[in-house]
Amino acid sequence: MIRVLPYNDDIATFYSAIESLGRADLDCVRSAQHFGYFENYLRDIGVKTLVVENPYTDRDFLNDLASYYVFCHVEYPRKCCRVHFFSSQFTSEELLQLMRGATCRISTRDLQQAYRGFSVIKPLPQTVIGRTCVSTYPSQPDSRVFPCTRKYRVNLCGLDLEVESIAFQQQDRVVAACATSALWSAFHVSADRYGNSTPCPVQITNAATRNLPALSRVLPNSGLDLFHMAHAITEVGLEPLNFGAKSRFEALTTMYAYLRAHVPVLLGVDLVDVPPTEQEPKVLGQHAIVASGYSLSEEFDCKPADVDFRVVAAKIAKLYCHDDQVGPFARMNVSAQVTVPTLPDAANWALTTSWESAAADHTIVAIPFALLIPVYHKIRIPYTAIQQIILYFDCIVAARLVNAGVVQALTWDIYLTTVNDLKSEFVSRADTPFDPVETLLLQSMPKFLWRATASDDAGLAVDFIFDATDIEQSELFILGLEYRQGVFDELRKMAAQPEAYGLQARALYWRVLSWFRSN
Amino acid sequence: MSKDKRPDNRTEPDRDNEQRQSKATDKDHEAAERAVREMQENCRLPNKDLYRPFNL
Repeated sequence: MIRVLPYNDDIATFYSAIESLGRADLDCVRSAQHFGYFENYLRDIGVKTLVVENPYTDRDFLNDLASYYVFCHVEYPRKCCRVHFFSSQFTSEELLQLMRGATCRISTRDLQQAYRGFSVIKPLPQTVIGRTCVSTYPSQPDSRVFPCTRKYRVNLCGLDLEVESIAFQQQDRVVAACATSALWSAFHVSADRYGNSTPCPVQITNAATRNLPALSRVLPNSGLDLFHMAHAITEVGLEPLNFGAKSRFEALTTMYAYLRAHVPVLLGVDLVDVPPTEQEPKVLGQHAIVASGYSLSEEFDCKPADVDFRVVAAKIAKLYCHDDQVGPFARMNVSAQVTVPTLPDAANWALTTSWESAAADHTIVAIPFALLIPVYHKIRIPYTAIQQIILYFDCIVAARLVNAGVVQALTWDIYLTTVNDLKSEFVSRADTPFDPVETLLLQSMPKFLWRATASDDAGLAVDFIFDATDIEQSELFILGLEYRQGVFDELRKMAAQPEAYGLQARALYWRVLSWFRSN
Repeated sequence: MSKDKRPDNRTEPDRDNEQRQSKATDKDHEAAERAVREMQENCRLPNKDLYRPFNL
């Protein structure tokens, strides 16, 4: 059965769908911060009509039900409902006419263009938001980017629809806490690229603790730690990479490097309630979220101490994260350090959140402390290895290029990519000073690559390509692409006579420079 | 005429100065080495953070 409801930016219309399941404590549901967030979000993506599909069978809820809820004395229904969001206005009659093939004002193409995703409503008393795939804020290629999304195909009573998103769901505090929900979303993205399985929340929680028993009972789940999360990642066939996130520069550059390659980044944060006055901020606990997008500003807001090393990632001003206590694509602004006496070695940066404090004039900020990145097993060289080579190269070798007048101070764009993505970018391109066919397209290259593109005020200068699948003791550097004449000639001179430039053969930059001895 | 074959009108002090600017010093290397070490340290996840449960 379906119901079509006009939506006038009033979340009460959404509540009516929840009410129709007859299980929810609506006062409790209304008090959750999700609904304020959803009201704003649905307005931002231009939703005008809701289509409620009831009943709806959801695989994830069915698995959670079969593993846990079915053993409760109280009977929980197995059927959910699903609410579809459209940015155009139409009536129930018009939708039925379309299904019958009769002539009507709307077409399936119109419906697809207006489709903004769906949300599954679970038949639980409080934590009702199940699998939710909604479209992102409109992408702006040079600033707001959502690389970690995938296509979800939807069939609404025979109508094929599609939405570009990453699945979100609220933690139920029974089979899943925040860490499980964050992993669940991350696995949805990587499954599209690497073919890993997408276990449901209860399977993730159980897998996380299978060989690493928790101190307390696992179900109901009160939270996993990083070890458990890493274990859950290996259980789906991916490899976990962990990094500290207390330094803004390293955390943002690492996140950017993987996010650009469509790899989601799990972020561990301390949530802190900050009063407006001199009162002491209070740590609320640890929270896990998953970053899926970012927004760049014009300024380089951070750099490493003592050296002038410019990277594009240092321009990140906002992150878009799936926060299971807030909503999908929650906007988090990168902000200055918050001093918390009970966190003496806290990060030198923070993120604003959409969390609502119990006190009206307080704000809740997230202070990051860990990154956990699920990667495909062939991505063996971590970002840090490449960043160190480029940092060393920039400080010593690029400084000589600047002195020689062939480039100005360089800005580096360093990120993971694939051979297919790299080659696709250069197919049919006639604007490069090199022949892309001979230089790149006909070359045999590894599946995963690190790419460091250097540019200055005059435009692109060089591209350095590294093997991401090799071993760290190897040279790693496999190819250089020259956009500005004279740069490679200068590098060849340096490689031929390192002593004349004060260069050291065992320094990290030599991994790049040695290539210019024979190329 | 290629750039390398142009007549060199630079004076000896000019050449010394250019040579000094174009040559990386031990001090430059030490600064870069320090930045790399600091970066490695900043990327390390302290052991005490590994066991903190995500409880929110």
